[in-house]
Amino acid sequence: MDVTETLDQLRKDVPGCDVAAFADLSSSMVLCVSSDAKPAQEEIDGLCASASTFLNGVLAEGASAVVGDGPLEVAMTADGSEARVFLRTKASDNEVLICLCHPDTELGKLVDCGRTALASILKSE
Amino acid sequence: MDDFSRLKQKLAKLGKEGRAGSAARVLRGEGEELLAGILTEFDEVILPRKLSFRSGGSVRLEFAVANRRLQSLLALEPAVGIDEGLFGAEFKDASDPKLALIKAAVLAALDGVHEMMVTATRQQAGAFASDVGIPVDQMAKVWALDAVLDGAAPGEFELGSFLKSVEGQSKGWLLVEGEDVIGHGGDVAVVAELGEKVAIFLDGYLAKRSELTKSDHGARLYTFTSEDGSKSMVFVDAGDQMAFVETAGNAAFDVATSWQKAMSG
Repeated sequence: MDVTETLDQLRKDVPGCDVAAFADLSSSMVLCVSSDAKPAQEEIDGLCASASTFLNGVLAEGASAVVGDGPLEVAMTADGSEARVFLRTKASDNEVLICLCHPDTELGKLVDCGRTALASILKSE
Repeated sequence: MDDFSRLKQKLAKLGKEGRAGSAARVLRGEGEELLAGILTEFDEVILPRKLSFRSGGSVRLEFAVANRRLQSLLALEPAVGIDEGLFGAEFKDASDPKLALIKAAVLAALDGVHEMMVTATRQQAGAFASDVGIPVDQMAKVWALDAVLDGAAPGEFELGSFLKSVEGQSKGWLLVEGEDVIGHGGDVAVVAELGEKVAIFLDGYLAKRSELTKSDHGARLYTFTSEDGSKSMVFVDAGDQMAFVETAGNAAFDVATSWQKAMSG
């Protein structure tokens, strides 16, 4: 499967996942997006910036101090109306998976499937 | 120095900088519905706080609140049909005739307002005695808002109850209100370590807080998981209250799912 197909499959496997994106934090670019309704470019750029905030920088450093020194694997934020999930692997610090989800999404399942999807994308590169 | 001394020092420092417990929320509604929402906000305040409500325009309300009681009206703009001498006056019982005047003046000020930003800051020490104030349920009766209030807060969310409901998934948790650790649970060593380390986290979080919450309408949950996936922290910023939960790696996602269900419930 190519990247688009992998992201599409992730959204099929996890009901409630509205947007799945693959991004490169080193260039601050979203490389591929899967979504029923294509998000506006500002929103896509915002997702990449959020991923960088959550997985790198002072916020991530502070969180790392609590969960163990070193990079974070997963970060998420939720407000009751939407959840945003940022995921990366040890294999690549800069290439990340970003998902936007409905409030009824099973987030554990999303992270499990997201790990598999990201590993598959990185393997195919 | 107790287990939470470092966290308390951090919270005290933040309080002096006016940041602790000052996260803004948005209250929506019109007329009596909005006024009922304001009463609901009072009902969530235990420690002495100054609650400010501001519209995008020129409407501003400030109340002194503690122990779920309205202590005083501190400011009202525009002040329509109200003697400004009432500002800062103590409320001691529900029969106080000033209450009816204040309801009318607040409703007049709220005319045309659909949305208000809510912030809570600490009151000046000793501003009002602890027995001053009218309980929210009595306020609701005096202002004839019982019915509106009953419908205004379906499934109202309580952070403390939520923490207890996810205790099976947590190793330890801390509940903070203002500058105080008001609750904790789980493994003693985990809780003690959490109290030490979240002070470091708060430094980073507060540097980014305005960026993270700029479009927020209320409480927000965050999770962070270590690189090996073995350990997670769940953090909830609910304005006046904050919670920190340590979990095994994947358990944080179940806590987040429960949170989403509770919040959207």
